[in-house]
Amino acid sequence: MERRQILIVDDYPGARYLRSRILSEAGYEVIEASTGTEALKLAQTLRPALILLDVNLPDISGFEVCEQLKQDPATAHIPVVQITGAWLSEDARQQGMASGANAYLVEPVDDVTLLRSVVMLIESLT
Amino acid sequence: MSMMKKIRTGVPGFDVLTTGGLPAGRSTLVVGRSGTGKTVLGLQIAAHLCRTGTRTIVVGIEESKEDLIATGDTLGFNLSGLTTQGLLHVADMMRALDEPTIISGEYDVMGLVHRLEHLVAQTGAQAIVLDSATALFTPRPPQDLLRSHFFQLVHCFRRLGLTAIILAEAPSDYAQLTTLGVEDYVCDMVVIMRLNVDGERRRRTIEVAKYRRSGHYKGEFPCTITTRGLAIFPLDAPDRPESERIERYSSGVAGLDEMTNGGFLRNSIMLVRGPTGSGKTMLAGLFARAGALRSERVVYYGFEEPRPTLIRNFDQIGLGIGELVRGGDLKIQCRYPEATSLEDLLVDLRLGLEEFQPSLVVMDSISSIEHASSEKGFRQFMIGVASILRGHGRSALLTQTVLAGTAAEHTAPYLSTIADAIISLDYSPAGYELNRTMRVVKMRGSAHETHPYRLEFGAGGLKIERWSSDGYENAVRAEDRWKDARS
Amino acid sequence: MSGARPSGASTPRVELVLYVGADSSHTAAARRNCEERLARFDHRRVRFEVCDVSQHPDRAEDDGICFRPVLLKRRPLPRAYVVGDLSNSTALVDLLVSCGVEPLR
Repeated sequence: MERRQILIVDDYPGARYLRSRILSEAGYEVIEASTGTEALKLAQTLRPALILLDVNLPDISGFEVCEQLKQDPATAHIPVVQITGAWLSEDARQQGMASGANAYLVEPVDDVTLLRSVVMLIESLT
Repeated sequence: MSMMKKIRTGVPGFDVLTTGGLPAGRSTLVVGRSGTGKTVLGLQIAAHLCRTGTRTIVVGIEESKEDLIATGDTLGFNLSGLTTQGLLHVADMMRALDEPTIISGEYDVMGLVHRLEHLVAQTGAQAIVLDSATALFTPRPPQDLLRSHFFQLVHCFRRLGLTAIILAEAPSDYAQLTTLGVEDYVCDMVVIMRLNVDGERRRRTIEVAKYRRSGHYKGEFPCTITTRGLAIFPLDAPDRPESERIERYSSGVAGLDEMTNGGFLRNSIMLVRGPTGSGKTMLAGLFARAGALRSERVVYYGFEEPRPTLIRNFDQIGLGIGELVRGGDLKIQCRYPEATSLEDLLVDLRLGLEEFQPSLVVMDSISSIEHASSEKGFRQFMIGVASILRGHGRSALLTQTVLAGTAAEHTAPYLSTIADAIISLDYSPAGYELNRTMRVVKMRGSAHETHPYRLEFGAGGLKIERWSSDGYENAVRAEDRWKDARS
Repeated sequence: MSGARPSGASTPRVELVLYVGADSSHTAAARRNCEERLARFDHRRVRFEVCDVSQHPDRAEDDGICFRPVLLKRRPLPRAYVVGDLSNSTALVDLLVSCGVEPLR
């Protein structure tokens, strides 16, 4: 059976490694990107089943990436999970909502929550 | 603020948003346009309540009992099973289409009220889901009657001690809340569900618009309906104790206790900022000592000096640290951030804390760690530290080195978020002397002095006292002159 | 409808139940209005009873009663509900006429 692909976007290799391990052990195929530009390119060409997007990226902000993904009809349907440490910040959350994210994870992210969120979104009915 | 008793709903993320769940024995209104998922939420909560031992009644007005149970079963709620077990009772109040209802004069909802009383007595139900109030009050009576009917209903629920979830239709996503226009102020909690459709994009959101006598997260949050029901993101959130214990403890420095209106608050993280030589380490030492003298377990993580040097420096000012270490209540651990990766340091910290189980933690100074890593790595590390500290309800004091004259300036946002209290130490020249100051910049959950206090080093450590008004004026002028000279 | 109608057995009786509560002003008004209206009809054609919801919640359950007072036309089918104290007077009369029961002359 074909494995579902998940694109992990984060410039911190430690975080990518950790999440990649959790998700591949759960049976997903993981692709990694370390910049926003790379993420947009890979999303376009590979059309993954879900994108895990850290909001702090070196070239363009994660919010910006999300907006672009959602505006492009080719990638608009892909669920985007934003990873943010700014849980308590109203602004960050509104920015996230405005950019069209489908869900949030709050740093530090524990394995169980990561997996549950991913599974729930991939299984999303509407 | 009296704390409300809450009932968990089991809907992922919902209990986070509401800091604990539904108000027990009260009414919650769930409002949304058709198709926003109200019925799913209602059934999902009903199923969870039943499974956790709370018998529930679901009253369906627009949908038949069979349809409601079928909807629930498709999403895996097992409503049929719960009904068989007697935990769930689905009451069907559907009127067949060919059975007309004519309104002719005044009436009340006591018919329903009596039926519900009877049903509750029969089933022992403690919770009820009404789907929906809008359907119940169709055809719609004049506004004042409607208000009165709705109130009678909610009053009935309250009298029967029912935790009630009332679903209602909204005409639009963002305008007036409900078609009935009255329900929101009669209920203790109001939840709004929305579905924004924009071409290809469908986005569901949920919002707790009001929660009487309780904290809650404000604004819209994304949610989705999966094969297992509704889920709200984020599914989890950092734990914030709902009722913060107001227990205070002494900082170990008399003047500082005065500045903070009684000492530090339990379970808070304090950040002490200042230039080199401003007295941060001394303050940290006094803090640790006070804790150990109270027989609390304290761990002091030093990142600046080797352990023997640190202990000796403290003993030279008469803190008797060496003795406290021998006694076992105080543990001093020195680490070198340049020599180890931050992930390893974090693991080391976590293990050490689990083993020693301290109630107070000191880290002197986090700047050493900052300088040994990238901005991102440091941020991740600090968030990890905050999480470990909060997860175990510990109080902590972290020191940070900043340039002289800049201590009062804005901190990196994530550090401001992590720190519950920020104390800044500073100094400026005053002739041949130094004017040393200490100021409580922020202290969450407590009133505090905002003026700087005067700091002096002496035997036994620090002495802190208020400036006389002249003294303060002079100090400010001296500081301004110094700053002008620098620029 | 013109023409003589056979009276008695072959025309089904209309069954009406007025659901009330003992303690309501609407109740008194409803009863009064019902009795007044019904006085103009042949009592053999109409079976009328009053039922207190608080005494018989099971009947209220079976008949799907939410509001009070409400007059339920049980028979002939389909059922119909007239909610309120019947201060709007033609509802009851209309109901009966639609079942083929004419007022007495």
